[in-house]
Amino acid sequence: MLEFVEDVGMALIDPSTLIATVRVEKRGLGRALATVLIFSLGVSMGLAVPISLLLSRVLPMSLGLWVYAIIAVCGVLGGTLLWILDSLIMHGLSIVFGGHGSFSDTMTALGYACAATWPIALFGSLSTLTGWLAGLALLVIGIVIEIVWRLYSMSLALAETHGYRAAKGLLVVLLARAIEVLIIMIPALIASALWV
Amino acid sequence: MARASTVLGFVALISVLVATVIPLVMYFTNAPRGDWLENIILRVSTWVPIKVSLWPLHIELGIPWGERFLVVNESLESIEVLRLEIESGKLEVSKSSGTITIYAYAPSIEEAKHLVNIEQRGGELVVNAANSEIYVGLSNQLHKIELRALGGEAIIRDLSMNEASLEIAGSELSLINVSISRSLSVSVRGGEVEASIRAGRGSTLLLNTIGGNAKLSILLPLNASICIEKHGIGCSIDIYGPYSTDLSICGPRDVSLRIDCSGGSISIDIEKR
Repeated sequence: MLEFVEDVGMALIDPSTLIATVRVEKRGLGRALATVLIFSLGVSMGLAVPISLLLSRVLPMSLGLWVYAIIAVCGVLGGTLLWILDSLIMHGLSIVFGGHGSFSDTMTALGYACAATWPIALFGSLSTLTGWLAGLALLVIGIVIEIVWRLYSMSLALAETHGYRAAKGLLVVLLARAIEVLIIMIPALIASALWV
Repeated sequence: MARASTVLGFVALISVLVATVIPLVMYFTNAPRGDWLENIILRVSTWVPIKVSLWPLHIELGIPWGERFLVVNESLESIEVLRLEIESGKLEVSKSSGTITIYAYAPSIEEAKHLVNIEQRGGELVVNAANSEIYVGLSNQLHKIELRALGGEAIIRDLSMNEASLEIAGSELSLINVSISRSLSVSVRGGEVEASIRAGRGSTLLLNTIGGNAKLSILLPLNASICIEKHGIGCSIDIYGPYSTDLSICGPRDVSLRIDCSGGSISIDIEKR
């Protein structure tokens, strides 16, 4: 347990050393998967109240336990799917950029990097204790911190995994995010064009 | 480095743990969030985040953006001055005795000792009162208001709303300077209703009285309709409007209608056959 806690901390402070250690100790995907599941659940529940409030504004319903359950399940599933999608795209890009790590190593690196989502969980839960304006500001702060921290964590972890420089790791992450936006946008644009 | 990473790992994991637990705790405890409550118990049937500030004889319930339902029951007995702010959603206030006064931007009743002050932009307002006096004076556009008064006196003034459902039993209801844009349903059981209403285009007015008295003065636009289901002795309706066309009257079966048109106004007297 303590080792897992330390792994999470290392993923946030020094992901390069963590990935090097994981590679030397030849660990499997277990802890990386646990990190993804735990932090996906935390983030989804941290955002559960704001999401419920948003839903209750457009849907004629009261806030019920089932809303939280659905949000939690969707959060965990979504986090896991995003982890797999990230791994596929970033591994492909890493190979293009001369990386030599395995796909499993890429998944491990990106799985541990999910620990950087904790500011969203923290600030999301804090936002439920304040008014809507302060809550919104807290959410924005949490998301900004998460974006920066996760870029740092993912870039260094990928660089260590694939043996290239951190700047190239950052480029891989940014390109992957752009591709993911396109993946989401293109069907939406096609659908809107067909609709019109 | 190892100690720092351990500490940060703990912080991160505890954060997600807290984030996971907080919504569940708030849901199961129905906990109002924010400030302190003293001597007053708010019972909320479904969890909504409520910001409560308490001073002597002053409570503010600020229901922030997004909530649709707030139900407050059995909790207003000891509240002398209450201020509610709702931007959307439904507010239900139940009170078994005493006085409920609901107003916003109504300086004429500022001197009232017991105030429930509601600012509502959109949404619904439901007031249940037994043996109570109710004053409603909202200058904002309400989506819907439901008012049930059992005994006591109710006054609604300077109110503009889409839908209103008023149920009076053994009470006196006065509607003063009230605008209805969609529908008004007035049900009187042994009480008295006196109203001055401006009805919107295409709106529907439903009057249902049993043993009560209703005196309605209604300014009708084009395409308004009136449906009278039942009536009591002394029920009279005066309708004023420049548009006599497209005015439809449905029911009642057991009354005779006498319609006199003079100029642009119509007056309807209903007598028991």
